[in-house]
Amino acid sequence: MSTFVHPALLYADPVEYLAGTIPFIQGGLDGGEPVMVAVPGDNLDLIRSALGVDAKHVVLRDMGVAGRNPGRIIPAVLLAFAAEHAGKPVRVIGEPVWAGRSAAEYPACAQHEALINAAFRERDAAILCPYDTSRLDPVWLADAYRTHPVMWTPTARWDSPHYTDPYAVAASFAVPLGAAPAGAATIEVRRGTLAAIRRFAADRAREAGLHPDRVDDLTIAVSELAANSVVHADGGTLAVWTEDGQLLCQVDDTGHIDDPLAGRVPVAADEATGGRGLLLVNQLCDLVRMHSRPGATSVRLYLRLG
Amino acid sequence: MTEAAPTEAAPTDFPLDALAPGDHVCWIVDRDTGYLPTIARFVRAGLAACQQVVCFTGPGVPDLAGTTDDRAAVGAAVDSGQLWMGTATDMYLPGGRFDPAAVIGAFTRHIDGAIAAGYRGVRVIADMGWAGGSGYERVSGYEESVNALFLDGRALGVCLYDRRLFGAAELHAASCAHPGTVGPERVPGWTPMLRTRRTGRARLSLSGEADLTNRQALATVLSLVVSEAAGTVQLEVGELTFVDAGTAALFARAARCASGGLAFVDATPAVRQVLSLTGVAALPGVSLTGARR
Repeated sequence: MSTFVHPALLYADPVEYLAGTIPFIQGGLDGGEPVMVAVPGDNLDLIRSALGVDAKHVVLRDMGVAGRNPGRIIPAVLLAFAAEHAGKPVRVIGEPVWAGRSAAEYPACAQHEALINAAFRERDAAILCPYDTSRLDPVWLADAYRTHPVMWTPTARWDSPHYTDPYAVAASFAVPLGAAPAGAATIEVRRGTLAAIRRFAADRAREAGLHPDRVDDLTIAVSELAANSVVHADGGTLAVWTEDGQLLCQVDDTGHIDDPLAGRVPVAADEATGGRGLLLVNQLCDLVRMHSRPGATSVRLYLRLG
Repeated sequence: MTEAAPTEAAPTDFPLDALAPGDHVCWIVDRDTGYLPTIARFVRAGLAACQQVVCFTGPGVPDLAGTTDDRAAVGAAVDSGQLWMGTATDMYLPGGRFDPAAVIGAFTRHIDGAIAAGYRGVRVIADMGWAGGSGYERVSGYEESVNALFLDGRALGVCLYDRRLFGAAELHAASCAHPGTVGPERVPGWTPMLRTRRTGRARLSLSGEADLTNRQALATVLSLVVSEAAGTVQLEVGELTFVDAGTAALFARAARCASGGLAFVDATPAVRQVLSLTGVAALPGVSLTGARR
């Protein structure tokens, strides 16, 4: 019988933060469970100091880097850790929502939190998600009640009265992305033009000043999206533009992504089936937003410039 | 301003100069637009390069001679055996039946004979329209298998697919079985997307890009080299600038089938990135060696 626990930890200051996280970590270590902490840099330092010598027994990751794009947290942070310790219950602290998340990032964070409940349903895992009550938008705190079955503070635990179906909650954060702005560079996506689309994306990225080391990442991501359009929708349109110090690419087509976990479940390296394109896209980009309904799909990538 | 899909190419835009020995190219064409001048240029280029030229068209044998000079040159080439023209039916459907293995065997003997006779290789242009109507299934496996004939660089092949004779799905499959495709769209600076060359019993050089549009060509070539290798298969990928996730999956399966695994030599950063993110680089039997650029 598997046990999956997914609490939101409400904390108001560093003292409460440690009071809520350190015992959770110690409980895992005492029980011989693999433990990972994936939280933003400052909180990571807090936990690392508080653990002292025990820190070497815990996998420590900066969520600000590993989870910059919320879409990759489930496959590349959480499920990857579970797979490394297959057969054992794992214990994770994952903090995907922090005060600096942008308006574009936040809906992806909330969708991610909801979908953890779906992705881990049959698994032996405890995933604790800290929420800073003193600095986060009250609406974001209210959303935590919808995405977590149980709520914790350092001194109390209760079932969330607002937790509900993860797919419905995730869908509630999927807002239409809107069209690319009028000045965006665009190109049609067709089967015979995938190579030309890669060159187009790379050229626009270099013009925008994307770091040379990331142009390949951008090319790979755009090519996977374009290939998906070709395969599932007979083509589409690619738009590329810059906004707020970021390079944005959007692929629109008439297909429908009907799997809510698309791009979030790892696929074995040699499996014959597809489904890797969106996974790669999530890993390569700083943010991925998707909106899909029958007859219309938009996927938007963000990569930071400079 | 949307960059429109590239415009329809005039037949004389066929990028003949971009072809090199070892290429196997799918040419999607509209017969109405008249491709004979291109075939004539292809033939003349082969004759000038001391290659043996094989030209199978349909429904009849084309009259390639344009000028009086051409007529004489073409006639002389036919007489000497440097130019062999016939109908597609002659080559593919002798006795009314398509036998892929027999056709590949015939081509192989032809290439061997041409080299022995002192020609610098063979170039073939073949109209595959005979396979239309009855469906592409007859030739899909054949086109994939025939990639083996081009791996040693002794031959160059262009396969014509008239758009009006094949459905969209069939054209996609035909294209996918070739490392490179010349489509109806004009693409300035076109070269075959992928070039595959066998550089040893267990060594394969891949240059260019590999994605869903040439997937089956690469799958066949990989499979062939892996099946014939006694140990590790070396993939020389210093000039391979792009692979997609599906190509990585092909590599993963090849690594599993190769008794000594797969060694990627001089992989570019883009290829390393995909191999790493898909987990292929970490598979047992996969190694990445050589220059990191």
